[in-house]
Amino acid sequence: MISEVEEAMTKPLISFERRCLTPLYEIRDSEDELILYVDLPKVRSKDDISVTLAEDKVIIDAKISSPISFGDIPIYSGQNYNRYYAEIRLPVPVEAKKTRASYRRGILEIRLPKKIKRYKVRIE
Amino acid sequence: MVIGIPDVGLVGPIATSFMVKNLKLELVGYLDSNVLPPILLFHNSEPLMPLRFYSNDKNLSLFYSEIALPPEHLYSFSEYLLDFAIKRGAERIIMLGGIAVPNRINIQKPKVYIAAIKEEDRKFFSERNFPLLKEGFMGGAYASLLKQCYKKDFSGIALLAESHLNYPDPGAAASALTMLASILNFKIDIKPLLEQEEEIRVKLRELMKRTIESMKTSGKEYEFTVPAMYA
Repeated sequence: MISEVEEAMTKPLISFERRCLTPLYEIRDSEDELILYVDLPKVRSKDDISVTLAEDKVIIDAKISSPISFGDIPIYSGQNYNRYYAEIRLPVPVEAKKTRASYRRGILEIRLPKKIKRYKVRIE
Repeated sequence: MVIGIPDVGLVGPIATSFMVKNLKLELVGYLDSNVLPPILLFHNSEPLMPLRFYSNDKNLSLFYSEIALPPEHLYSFSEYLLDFAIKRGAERIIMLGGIAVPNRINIQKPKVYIAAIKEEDRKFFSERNFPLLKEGFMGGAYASLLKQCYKKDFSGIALLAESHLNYPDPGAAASALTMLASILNFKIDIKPLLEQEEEIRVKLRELMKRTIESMKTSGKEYEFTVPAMYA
């Protein structure tokens, strides 16, 4: 876990090979569902976004409306970026078929109902 | 002196950087310390310190940080910065920042709360119906600066716009700037800032990521905490 965090901190939010940017995201946890918010500025419509659920992760692939250049900053290698891509690991299993998503003002919201069976425990 | 330090939604750096460009402020100095990370910036081939002072000839000075400040050194940093501002004849410090709200996505025009140390400042804002921050903890770099103002009985004011916690928020920065302009009575056109909103959100992702890490240990978590005095 520590190495995962360290890796995330030192790794830039780009993939040079895939020519894509890694979006910022946050996961909020409620009683029945996880709510995943992904910041996707410069994505024009929901039709430009693909959301795939695969076991314990969500895969986001989105097309940026106009290619983004980071000027002469060497780590961006002078190339343009025209996609967002992220594989986001989920902390608990979710119901894939009941998952819903919406896109507003550059933010993708994905509501993932938790796959949990509840057992009432009798207090003696 | 106006202050912009990376914090919630990067409101401070977005707003102060926009002020530097649009009010044509001049670089007049920098702040460096052995407790800051070894970082130097280059712009148009010229070296720039990450923590810089700007000014104009109309009594406006500004402090702007390009990097998240190390939480363990916020106390000494705040003490030094405030002493410096007082020595240079500043009448007050005004910090531009954000306050995280969970429903930010539904807010078109973020509201700006004012946290003020001196009673006369609170009275000034209250008489003009500016919303004061009335309850709750404040944490992070601005809380540290306000504490120093409290100890030195100096006028410290934080303008906190409703903001995304984890994403750069130029809309919140525009609201904070509009409030600042009305307090200090200067004109600033925030339209270009709003037009560049998406571009800024893309380009400041890395700084936002570093800032979130820094906020985790700078007392920001207390902002979600209900003080014991309410129990």
